[in-house]
Amino acid sequence: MWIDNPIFQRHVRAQFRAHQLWITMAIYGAALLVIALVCLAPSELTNAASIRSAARRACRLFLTLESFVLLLWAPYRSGTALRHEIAARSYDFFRMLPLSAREKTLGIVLGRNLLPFLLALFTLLLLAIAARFAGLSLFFLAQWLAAIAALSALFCFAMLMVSTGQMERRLGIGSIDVLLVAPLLAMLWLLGIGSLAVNQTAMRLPETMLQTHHRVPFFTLQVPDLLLSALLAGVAAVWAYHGALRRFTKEREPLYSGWALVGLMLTWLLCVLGFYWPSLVQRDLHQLGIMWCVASLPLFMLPIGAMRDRDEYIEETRLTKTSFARLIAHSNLVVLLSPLVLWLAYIFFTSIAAPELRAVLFYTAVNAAAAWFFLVFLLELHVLYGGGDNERISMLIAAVALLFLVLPLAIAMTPKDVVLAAHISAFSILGFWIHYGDNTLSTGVNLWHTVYYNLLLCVLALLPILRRYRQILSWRDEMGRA
Amino acid sequence: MLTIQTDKLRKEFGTLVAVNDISLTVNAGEIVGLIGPNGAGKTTLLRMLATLTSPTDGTAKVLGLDLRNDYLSIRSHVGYLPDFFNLYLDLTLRECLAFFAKAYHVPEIEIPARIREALAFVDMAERSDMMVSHLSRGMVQRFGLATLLVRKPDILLLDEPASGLDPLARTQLRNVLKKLGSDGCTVIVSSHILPELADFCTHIVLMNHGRMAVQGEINAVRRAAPLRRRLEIDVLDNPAHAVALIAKQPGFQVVNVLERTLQLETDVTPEALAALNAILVNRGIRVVRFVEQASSIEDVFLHMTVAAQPAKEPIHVD
Repeated sequence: MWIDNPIFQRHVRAQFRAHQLWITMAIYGAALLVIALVCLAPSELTNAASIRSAARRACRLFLTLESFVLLLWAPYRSGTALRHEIAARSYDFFRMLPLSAREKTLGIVLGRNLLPFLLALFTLLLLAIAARFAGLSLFFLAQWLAAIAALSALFCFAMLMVSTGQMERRLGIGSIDVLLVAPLLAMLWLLGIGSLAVNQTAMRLPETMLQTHHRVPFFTLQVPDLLLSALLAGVAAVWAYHGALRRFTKEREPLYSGWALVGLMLTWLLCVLGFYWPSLVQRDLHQLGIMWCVASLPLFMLPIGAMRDRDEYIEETRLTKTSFARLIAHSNLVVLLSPLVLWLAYIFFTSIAAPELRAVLFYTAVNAAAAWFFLVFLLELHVLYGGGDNERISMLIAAVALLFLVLPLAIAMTPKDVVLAAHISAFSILGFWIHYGDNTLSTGVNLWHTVYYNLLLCVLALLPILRRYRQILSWRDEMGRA
Repeated sequence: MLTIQTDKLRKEFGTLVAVNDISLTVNAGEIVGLIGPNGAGKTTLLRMLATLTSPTDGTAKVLGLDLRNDYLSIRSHVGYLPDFFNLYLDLTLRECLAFFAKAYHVPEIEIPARIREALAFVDMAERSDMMVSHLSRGMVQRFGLATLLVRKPDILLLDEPASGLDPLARTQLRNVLKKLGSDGCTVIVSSHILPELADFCTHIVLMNHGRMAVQGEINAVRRAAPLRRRLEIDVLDNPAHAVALIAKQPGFQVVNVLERTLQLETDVTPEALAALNAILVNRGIRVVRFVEQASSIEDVFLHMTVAAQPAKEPIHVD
């Protein structure tokens, strides 16, 4: 039973100590008081319509408070749990606790957030009362709450996962998981959660937040956007939960195994396919191009979580009789190929719906793959040469990556010729995708120049990688440890 | 029974070899003092045995479990106290001990008694309802030991447990460790305060430059150390004359003169010692004290770390 979990009990004890509790309760009470003052001002409550209007305003404010508690406060507390252990110098004790990864994860997320969750529950009660006076559909309200709850679970587990990664030496830099999670969250926004958060919460909140029933296509269904957002966030939360579990059970291994990498990529491709299914059916060529672009996004992010570090290479060469070929076969370069292969298969099969795109498709695949290889090579260079005492090398590699992505776009701003500008910007994979939808890339100029350019960069990056692999093997031999 | 067995255990950090092919055996109930200068690799070795740092190479078994593959299982049998740590500041001592007892699956019914016992062991019974945040540095160090004792681990790994403690706290800590040893717990304790280790350790491991220089039973190591014997002679007057006389005798070397105390190193026979005493007395030197000093662990340590180069092959003394 999770309530018997010692980590849960430890956090609950600390949280409900009177001298800490009253501060939280005072702040929450003040927030409720502000809401009451805003909504229940006597001048507003002169007739039934004004009561209804005040209740609607109260609903919005309670929903905002609920979002604050569940989307900011609870994830913050989840993400800082281990940081506090480090600051208090008790992290070694935590690591040595013989509890299962599930107990550790749930103990932190539920135990440390019990107070926020109870306050969220109380806010929900107030929200339900306000909704009754406002005459709102309970089903609609339930969708909102499902979306917030799923997002809260996602953020809590993701923040915990990120914080566990920061404690480790993975890839030599602490914030590497932020690079992983931030794009993951950005992708979720792209796929609908953005419409929930931006369209409804921020920009149109006063008027339509509690009235609009948006529906979005997903395969052949028309799903309410809030419900779809909740489902997608739920799927992402399951992955983040597994990520946190893995951090505690396989603390010496990368965040994803090879299989998880495949699973994540397939999940992503399935979601993208669901959203773009109508475009596929209608053979909307412009939308298909965008779909391939969106489908490729994890290619450039997921590898970070599956990469082995230099110490693991060295350990492998010590523990097994490793040849140069075997080292390459077990290297990050090969392990990370699976998402690229999946993406290539995906665009191949979806292109069946649009045979007229086959020519440009081949070029797209080769160019994107070459750019992907170069970025993965840069990551591998960071693993092999950077991190730890060599932060400057990591900085240099990061600068090269940034130049690779941004420099062609900057240069493309100079010429007035739109077609020439588009072709220059296509030397960056970002620029390539930006102009993918328009026709500027298919006029006259030899597009294969960008492929040659990316391949040349790949060769330049690959040489020091191979040199380092040889060095790792020679270090073993020098120390007489074959 | 073998509790810990390592075979060429090694840890590299980049080009630095922190622990260099350590092959170590520790039997149940032994109290092993891990000695070495700063940077010798003691902490890295302890952290590897505690499964908090993974070895680069070599193998190790802790209670028969493989260090590399069974590290999660090993953790439930090992208690590790880092050199600098703190505990949950927002809990009371009793709550903190209850947390560790529960986390280490101590039966619920036994927990109150274990807590009382552990607090009494470290002489903190009357502070059970105090917040951990109110403890002094020395108290935290002792309380850290209580968090280990409450769950009775099979092996204790203590990294410089006496660092930062005042003399009184050190004495208390030493008494706790002595008691643990007599209770049959296997303990590996690192310290640079050597006389403290000599007091209660049954075995020592001397590390230098990441390598193990000596391993063995403590008295055997003392005896086997290739040290010259040391003499201390107190004279009532004229120490300069005494020094001049001693300098003429073969096999004696005056290494220090502290007012009227002469410190000598020698490798002569007992008969030659008696002869030296007679010469001094006969030449009018009034000898107050003539003592041969046993070599201490500190002497062994200094000999191994300062005088000698890092050993290629460790010396095993049985």
